[in-house]
Amino acid sequence: MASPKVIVLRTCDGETFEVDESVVYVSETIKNMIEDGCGDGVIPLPNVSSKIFPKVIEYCKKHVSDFESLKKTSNGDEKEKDKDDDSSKKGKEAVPDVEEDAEEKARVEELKEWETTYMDIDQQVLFDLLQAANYLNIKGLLLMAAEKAASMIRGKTPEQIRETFNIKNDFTPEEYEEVRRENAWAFE
Amino acid sequence: MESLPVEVIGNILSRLGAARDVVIASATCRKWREACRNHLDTLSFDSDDWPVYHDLTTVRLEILITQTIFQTRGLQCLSISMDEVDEFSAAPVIAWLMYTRETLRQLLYNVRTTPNVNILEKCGRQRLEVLDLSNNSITGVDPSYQRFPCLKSLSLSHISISALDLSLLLTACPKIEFLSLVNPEIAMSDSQATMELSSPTLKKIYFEAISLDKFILEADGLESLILKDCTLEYFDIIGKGTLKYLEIDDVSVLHLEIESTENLEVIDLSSFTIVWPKFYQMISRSSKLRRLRLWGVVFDDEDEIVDLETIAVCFPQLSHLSLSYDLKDGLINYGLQGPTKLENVAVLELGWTVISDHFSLWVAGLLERCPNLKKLVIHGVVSEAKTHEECHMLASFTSSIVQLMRKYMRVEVQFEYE
Repeated sequence: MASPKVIVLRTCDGETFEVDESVVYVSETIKNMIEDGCGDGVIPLPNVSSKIFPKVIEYCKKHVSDFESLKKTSNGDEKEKDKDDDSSKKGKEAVPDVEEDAEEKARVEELKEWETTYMDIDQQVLFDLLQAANYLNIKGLLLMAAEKAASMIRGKTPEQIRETFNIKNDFTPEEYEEVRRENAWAFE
Repeated sequence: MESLPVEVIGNILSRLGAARDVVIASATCRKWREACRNHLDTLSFDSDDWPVYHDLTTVRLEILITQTIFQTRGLQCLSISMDEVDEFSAAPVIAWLMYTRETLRQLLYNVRTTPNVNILEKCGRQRLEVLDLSNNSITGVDPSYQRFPCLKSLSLSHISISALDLSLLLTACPKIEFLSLVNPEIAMSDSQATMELSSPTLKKIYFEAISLDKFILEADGLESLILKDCTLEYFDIIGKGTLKYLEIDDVSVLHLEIESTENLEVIDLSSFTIVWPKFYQMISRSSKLRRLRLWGVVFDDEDEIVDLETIAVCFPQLSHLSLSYDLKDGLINYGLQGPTKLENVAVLELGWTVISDHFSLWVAGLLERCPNLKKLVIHGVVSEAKTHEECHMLASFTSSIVQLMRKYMRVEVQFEYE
């Protein structure tokens, strides 16, 4: 097997990183850039900091194997989700898996554990991750981070949510009144 | 948080699911309100989410669901699961379906509608991938104009539908992979209840509480079949040998025929009456079998037993064997006869419902046949009122197992009593 191609990327604060092509391919954005011919030079990532980039790459490395096989097939199917991405199973799955054997179960368990450890991060890292995953178009990572953020919102009042995330209430008194009235049932 | 684009906020709020959480989040700030309006893809009204739902009248629920759905745009996954509601009236339900028609990819709806709404007709068809309906009637399926080009998963529970319509519905779903039918009310036209279903793309099927005289299922791509609590006289499964997983639990079927069983990997039968020679003939070619479970099975012929020699010879790849059935005194040794070992069996699960002396002997015999065993699980049913005799039995059983396992130090033993 030929030695894997290494891609050079530069984050917004000027740092460069060298990463295997197969790993960065997990990012749809970078993948498209490479396919458009930018793979030989340095790929600029103006919306990603050097602080969060290694965390993103950690995710990509873990999920490379699924994308290897996806790369070979057409990349048009947007709905093709990460096989291992448990967090992509929301409520009803499109097609529940055929019975897993012991090996598969162990693999799923291991991934769950890895995800729990990976997502044990503070709020700032979470937001940076959300930002980066969105820009780099890494669906599985975005989903995982979004789930984590949602879990921090669930069950809180608007004021509590604002406090948790340091959000400014920019409604005018009239706007806020309207929001409350339109959905009075939820605020009872 | 301030710098996150509104689409990402929408993504986050879409993970909330529960409508009340979404509405409360929308009152946080302008960007979040906009996210809920224009970038929300999932909304769920589930009676389990919020206890106050139970206190609201049906009319109030209809109003709040309508108001909330109509504040969104581009909803992709809608779930309405209200167990305490008897029925919703047709008008709001039609409104919800029509409003989300263009973008809906997943729909879950479990409330009766009055008068009955033809959900299949009103809901968005073009993009629908997952449909889960309960407590409704489906009438008049017409595949010529009613097609579900993207539908992959169809779950119908307590649905009233004719056999013909169900069959037509499957043909209207060219990409369907998963079908679940639970307690359907199937209307038949003939005096003999025959159902014929055919789909080349179906991969996984789940049937529960189905009662039919004759059922012919043609599924060339079927990989997994689960039957629970069904009563069938004649069940014929036609396929191309793709079936890998078969699970039958508490089913009564007089005549079961599965074409091409060569690729079966898992067979799990429980509370099932088997005509062993016939059944065995059907699965004898499943040389790839990895897991076999015969639990609480009753043999049609009282003299029938499961003989391990046959199992060992026919299923060389077997790695997980679970057996629990009435051990007839004289027949245990007969079942254990034969030279062939179960080389690949790593997990053995053996169960009793009524403890007896024979059981320990049986365990011993089986352990001898599994040279590479890693784990043994003993399942027992312990009755609440234990007679002196039963306690004695259990005690002597425990002692004999302890002694036995000394010979098999590398085997992990687990006990599960219920």
